Amino acid sequence: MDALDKLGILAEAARYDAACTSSGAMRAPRQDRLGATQPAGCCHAFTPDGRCVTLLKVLLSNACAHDCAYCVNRSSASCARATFAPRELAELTVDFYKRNYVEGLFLSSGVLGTADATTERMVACLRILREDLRFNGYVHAKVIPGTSPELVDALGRLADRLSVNIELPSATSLEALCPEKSRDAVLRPMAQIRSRREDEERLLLAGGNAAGAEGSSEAQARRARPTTRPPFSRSARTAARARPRRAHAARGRPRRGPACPWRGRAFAPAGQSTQLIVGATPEDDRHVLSLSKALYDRFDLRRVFFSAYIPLMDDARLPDPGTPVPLRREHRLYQADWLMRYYAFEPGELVTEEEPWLDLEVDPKLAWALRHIDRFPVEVMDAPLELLLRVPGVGPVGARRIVAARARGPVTFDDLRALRVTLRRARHFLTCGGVRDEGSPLDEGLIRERLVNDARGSAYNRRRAELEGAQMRLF
Amino acid sequence: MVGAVAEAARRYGVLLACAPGAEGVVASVGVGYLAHVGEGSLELCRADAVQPRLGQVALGPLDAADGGVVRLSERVLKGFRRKTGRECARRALLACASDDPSAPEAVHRYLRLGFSRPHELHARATDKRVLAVDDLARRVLSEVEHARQFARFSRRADGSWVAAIEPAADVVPLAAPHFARRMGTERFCLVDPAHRVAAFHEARAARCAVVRLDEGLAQRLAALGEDDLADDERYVRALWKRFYDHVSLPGREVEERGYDLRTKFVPVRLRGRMTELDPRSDNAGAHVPARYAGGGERAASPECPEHAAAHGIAL
Repeated sequence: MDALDKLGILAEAARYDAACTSSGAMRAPRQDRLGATQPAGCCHAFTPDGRCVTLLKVLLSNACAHDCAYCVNRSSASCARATFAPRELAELTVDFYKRNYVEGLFLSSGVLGTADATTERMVACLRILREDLRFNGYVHAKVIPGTSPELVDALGRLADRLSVNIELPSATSLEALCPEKSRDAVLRPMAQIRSRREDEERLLLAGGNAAGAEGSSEAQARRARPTTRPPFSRSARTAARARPRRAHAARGRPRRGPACPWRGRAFAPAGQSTQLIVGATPEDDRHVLSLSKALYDRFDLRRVFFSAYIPLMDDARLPDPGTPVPLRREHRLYQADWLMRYYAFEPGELVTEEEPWLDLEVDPKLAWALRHIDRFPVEVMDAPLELLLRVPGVGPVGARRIVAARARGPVTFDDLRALRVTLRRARHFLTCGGVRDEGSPLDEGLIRERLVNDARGSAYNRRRAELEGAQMRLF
Repeated sequence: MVGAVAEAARRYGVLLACAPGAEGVVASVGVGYLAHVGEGSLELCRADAVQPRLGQVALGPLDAADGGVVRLSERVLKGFRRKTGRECARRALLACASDDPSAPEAVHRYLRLGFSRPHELHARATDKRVLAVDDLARRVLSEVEHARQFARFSRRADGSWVAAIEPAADVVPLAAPHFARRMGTERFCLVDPAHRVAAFHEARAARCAVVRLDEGLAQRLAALGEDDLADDERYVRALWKRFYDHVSLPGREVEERGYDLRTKFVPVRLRGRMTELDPRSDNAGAHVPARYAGGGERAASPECPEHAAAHGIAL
């Protein structure tokens, strides 16, 4: 089996993992090293399923000792199996990177015997990539539950981001579908990653405070004196910790603010994320959103990814094969997650005990606004930024533009259009100088009807409604 | 040129043609100032779209390669940056890279506004002159992003790399620093045959050299991505195509969603040079690089029971 065949098998085996971003880490180019990372990441291709390709996302091996009911790679499944040699995968990453196909590597694996044995192979692959091939680009590594703390630490020193899949929304579901996994085994490495990152942050900030100087000048020091030391070696890591202190002392500048979250970090500078499958088990959206909020708070996660369950397995514990993939549910959960992270919404505002499911036809922000229509319209000229952010069709950029524009003079609906505010939705919830938009009805019922009809009429909703049709909820 | 513009402006309006690129446009604004021509009497246009109105005299363009023109553009831009700040100067420069025929005049109005009322430029978020430049800058940034995303480098037999892109704006000078950061250890060339410009990077250099080309050289450089390739190039392209073809999930195709994200995010004009969308990439060729010729392991397959047993995997 040559690399072409293996790549086909192992890319296909990894595609169910939704988490694939190259964002969150800023690393400048280093002397004699290939690549750099940037906070925003970069998408290099778009696949027919509508997802972007930013990393070489493959499994090191799809041979797996676990038998999770929903997984195509489970030990009892009959499928072609393959395993990359660590060097082979490292070489492949560099070849793709140099051609501008990817930003780096997303490394995951089936469990080759034990979690530790598998992680040792992953660490070997990343060592070749970082030390032999001198790769300075982005690496995301998956932590297998049950891996020993020393190996999680080694992985975190080689990768930009770590992730531990929580897999399912509740311990009961996990126990039912993944007999070899337990909630504790999943949460333990998450807690370790958080704790390790906090320790490192304290160390970095203490270095800044002790000198009484600027706390984020590691990058400046690096620009001034390019390092020739391998950045992933022990000596370089020690130097990275020490550098801010020396640089501050030398410059003697006053502290401007806290250190940037990724600067000077040697352990998982882009933080950690997780993924859970929705639609395979009966938990409702309220449960899922409360869980993700708790995960953000407890483990300082960068992202919680949701993966709509694709019913391929014939198993009594799972939805029947042929059941439509809950794409809209996944989409609405991502929107709700976005609202929690960037718009200061709480899970309880989006889903309640009485209505535990997100509306599939209408996005969560619009649904919230329609439920609280008595709070609207808000006046563009004096509404606080937090309230503008709650207006459907107004995002953080639009809200900031409105605040800047109204400082200069009256803002009209034409101005809002010029500022690229999505007036189709926003016009119903705003007044400009006390005047409503002429295209917006006064009656609340009519507003509701028009917005819901608009949402239902979108190509996406129409197509999904056709496919999901008379399909009832499974649970 | 300053004298000619001043002379013509006494009796007529002046339509000043600009060479493509920031130097040509910004220096033309500087000429207007040096000739003491009011904003209403001077209009800028692209050199390939000169269409004077009645009562207008067409002049120019300035030679953007001339040292005096470059110095004048630097002087104007420096003054503008000092007056209005780094961000406004950045937007003006981005707008200069646009292919839109209205770009030179939009930049002209924007610079004039900035010089006359510098403190108001940021607050005038709904001013048409500000919106016009913001819009051009946004579209140019989008093209820069496309270049960063979709340029595909090919390895040549001599070990260097070459990529050709055809963006809808003159973005090679703007995208070059990104590739210099990313490919610092490599020798490469990024060429845009449509705008006849190329960025050359020597291994371990801090930045690229951006060079304007003639038509023939631009085409020859663009063709290098298919000629005299390294032995492993076809195989690596086939690997990428194989990966791309196998990462899509079932149940999420275009017909399942009712729309195609590729239509929105991958312009058709760029697809012709994208390896993963080129059917020829399926052909791996006869040469299999040693590093990929079965150096890995088979695991847990019926042909490899020892490996499975070693790791305790049920077959």
